[in-house]
Amino acid sequence: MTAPAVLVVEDDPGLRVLIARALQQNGFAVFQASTGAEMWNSLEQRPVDLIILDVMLPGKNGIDLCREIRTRSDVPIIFVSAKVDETDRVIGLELGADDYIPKPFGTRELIARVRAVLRRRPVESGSNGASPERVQFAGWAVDMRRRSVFSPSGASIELTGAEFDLLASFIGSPQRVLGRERLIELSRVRLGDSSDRSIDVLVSRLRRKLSSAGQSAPIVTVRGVGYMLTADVTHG
Amino acid sequence: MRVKLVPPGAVGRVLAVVALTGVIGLSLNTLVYEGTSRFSIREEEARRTSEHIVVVARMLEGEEPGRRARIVEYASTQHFKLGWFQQPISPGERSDALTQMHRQMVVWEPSLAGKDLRLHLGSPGAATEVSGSLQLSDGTWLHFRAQDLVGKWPLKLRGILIASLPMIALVIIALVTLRVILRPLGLLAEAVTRVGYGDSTILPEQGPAEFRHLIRAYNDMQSRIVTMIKDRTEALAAVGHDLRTPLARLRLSVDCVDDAEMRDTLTHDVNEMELMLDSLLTYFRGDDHPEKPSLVDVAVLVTTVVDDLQDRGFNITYSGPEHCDATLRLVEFKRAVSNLTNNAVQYGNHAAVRFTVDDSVIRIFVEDDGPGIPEADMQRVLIPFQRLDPARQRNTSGVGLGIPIAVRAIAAAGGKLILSNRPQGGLCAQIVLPRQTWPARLGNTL
Repeated sequence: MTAPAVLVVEDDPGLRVLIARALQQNGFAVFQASTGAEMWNSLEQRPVDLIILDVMLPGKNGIDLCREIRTRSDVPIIFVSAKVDETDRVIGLELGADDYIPKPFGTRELIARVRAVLRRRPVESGSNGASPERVQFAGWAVDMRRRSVFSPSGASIELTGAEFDLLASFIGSPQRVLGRERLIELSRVRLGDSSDRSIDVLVSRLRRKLSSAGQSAPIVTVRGVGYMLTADVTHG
Repeated sequence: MRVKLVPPGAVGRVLAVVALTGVIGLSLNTLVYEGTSRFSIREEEARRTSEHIVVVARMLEGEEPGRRARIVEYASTQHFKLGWFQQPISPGERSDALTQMHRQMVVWEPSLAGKDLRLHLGSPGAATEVSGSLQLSDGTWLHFRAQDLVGKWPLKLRGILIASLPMIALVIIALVTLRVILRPLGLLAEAVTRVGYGDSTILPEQGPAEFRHLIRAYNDMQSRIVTMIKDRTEALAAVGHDLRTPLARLRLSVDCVDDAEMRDTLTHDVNEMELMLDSLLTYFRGDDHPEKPSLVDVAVLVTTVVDDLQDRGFNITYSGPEHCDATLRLVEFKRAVSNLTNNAVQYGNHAAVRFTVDDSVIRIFVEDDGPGIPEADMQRVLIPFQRLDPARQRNTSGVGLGIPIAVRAIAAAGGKLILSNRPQGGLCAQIVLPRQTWPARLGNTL
């Protein structure tokens, strides 16, 4: 298995080299570009598995470049931006970027995000390519890309990062019993770096937050085995 | 061309007011003094009275005493009673107020001059009655009593009142006029008071020339201030954004440091710089909200903030409903709650978040067991960049914007933040959010 190839498009030389080094140390093949033109040159020479794109680039900015890439390729894109406005994040994700990392970020966060995006992609291409951006279950709506959850009443439900990853794991395997080991594995990105809570605590929190009007959350405990999302998940 | 009747300057206007009131006062005074005599003593009545008593007196003097009583009786009418007595009306005191009337009567009927005419004002139960007596040639007295010979008011009081009417009119006119003239000044004072509280208003230039200059100067000054603040804020925000790239470099470089202890120290410093930068940029982004209010489950939001802190190893608990929907700006409000809970876990060993809800308000209490805030500093912590006494700080980070940012976010949601020291020690930060300002689609409250 060859190392996944990542193209880093960043105009700040120092930051570009540091990102490249962090990726290389974690087993990625890294290519670098400082402008949009260099990016296109590099992509012509060889395709990559993922592009890390700075939003603020001299000349053509990252948002325009993202739009252009999307017209000809489905390659995963992660935005890197010094702006932390919620609108920037939303615009980036709506343009088809797969994730958005605000500066400054650490090596672990960078690698975790890159791995998460790369892991998500092949599974989706297996299921007809289209990524399930919005899913519904038992009246609840989840926007996978924006990582937002809405209750049956239409209210935003804020979850911690680990809780959302856990929910995403359940949504990925509805009506199937998931063992603790499997859940830890599926959610390890977040659990690894921001939380040492056990799966049981996270599940109980998730249940509390996904209860509504006297109804308990559609997640049941299968004694001795693990947990299961009982509701049907619909896409679109 | 319109003819300008109103002088443009304040001095001109005040002069105009003085002149106007002078003229009005003078004319009113003239009218009133001319009218006083006419109004107070009914001249016609006085003349008729004098004629009447002169005639009756002559008749009585020409008749023998035995028939006099009958004549007196015949000569009396309902409003004018006559009588014949040996003595004058007692007590014989004369009313000064009737001196003028006395003079008028004597002028009209000179024969009254030698007859010791005495006039008296009023009698018990009839204040407007004039009575009098005059001596006949044989030393006996003719008494008479006339009703309504004077106006209802006692003469002096009436005179004073009438004389003061122009004064009252002048005061009212001057008051109204001056208020109208000075109104722009009041509006300016109000506007100046509001400067710096977000809403800058451009005042219309109105009123006297001096005021118009002042208002124009104020408007110019205000736009200069607004531009200056905007420029500086933009510059600061730009620097803030630019700082993120070197900070990102620093953070990635820190990860390459082999010494674990050194790496932790550096990470801690980078984290602190990042937090300060974040709060600065949040504060200076100010009131231009890119975020739209939306329906949010506030109870879950608060729970998640608490859960995040628990995950980071802090001792903090949540008690309250599992769900409660409200319309607000999610990111902004979450930051407010985070700032308050971060303070609570930084200053105290244990923090508790209580969430209560009734028909009209949502209350979120963030309580800690830390040192609290001295009463004298309660207002100071609401001011940006104010940090309390360094001796009280314990591993605190930030630039003193946490509470001001929270105050602004809560105010934007229509609520308020109340800080108080708990009786058992520690601080209680209470967020009060009114519910009626929100749409009625309130969700499931358990």
